[in-house]
Amino acid sequence: MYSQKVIDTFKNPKNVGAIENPDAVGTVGNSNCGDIMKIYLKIDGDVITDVKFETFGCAAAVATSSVATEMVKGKTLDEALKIKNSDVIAALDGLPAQKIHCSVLAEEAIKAAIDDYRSRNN
Amino acid sequence: MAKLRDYMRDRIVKEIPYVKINGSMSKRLPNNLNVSFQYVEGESILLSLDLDGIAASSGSACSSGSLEPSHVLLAMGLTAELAHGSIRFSLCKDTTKREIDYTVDCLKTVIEKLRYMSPLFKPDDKGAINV
Repeated sequence: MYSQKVIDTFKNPKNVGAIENPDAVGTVGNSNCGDIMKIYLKIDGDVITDVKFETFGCAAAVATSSVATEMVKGKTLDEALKIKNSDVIAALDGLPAQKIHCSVLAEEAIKAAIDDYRSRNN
Repeated sequence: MAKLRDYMRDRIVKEIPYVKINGSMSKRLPNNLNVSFQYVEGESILLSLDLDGIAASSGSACSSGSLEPSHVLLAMGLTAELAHGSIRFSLCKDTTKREIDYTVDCLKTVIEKLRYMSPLFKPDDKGAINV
């Protein structure tokens, strides 16, 4: 049911782990629905210089987290905010219908992390 | 079959931390083992095992295809997280000890990798579960 890209990304995800002393953290989802994504950002000026993720969830949740972190690395905060779940789906050569919500979570996790940064720095 | 199933259970309990065997060990079919792996989600375990050539199932046979955690495990008092992390192994009369050993060896690697990825699992997170 998954594209080869989803399986490959799930097997070898990029940017796994936590960042010590991150400039921002975004956590979305909960264990009742079965997916939790946590994205850590290092930000210099308004550029995302480093990003890592930790995800509890299905293979699609891991794969969407991985590609979302790859997309935001090196981008400005405003550029990162423009990333849509459809971009995440396209980067994975598609997702099964019942897994579309994973791409939405990835978009929301990025937004939550940037919100966190902006509220910390007002 | 029950002997081999019990051997599999013993290896899992001994070699993988934070696991819970679901259900009674006496009042169950001889070929069945249902295990929850805390901090990780069932489908990602299944897909990883599948890539290693091992077929198992998450949830019950009667509700496969559903993304919801097992209503039976929830009714038995498991948290949603533990219910999401449950895997059902089914043995048959031809299952060998070698296949069980291969499965447990793969499981150890898979669970370790997925826990490293999980925001719920921290290495210093001890004693969080009643096994």
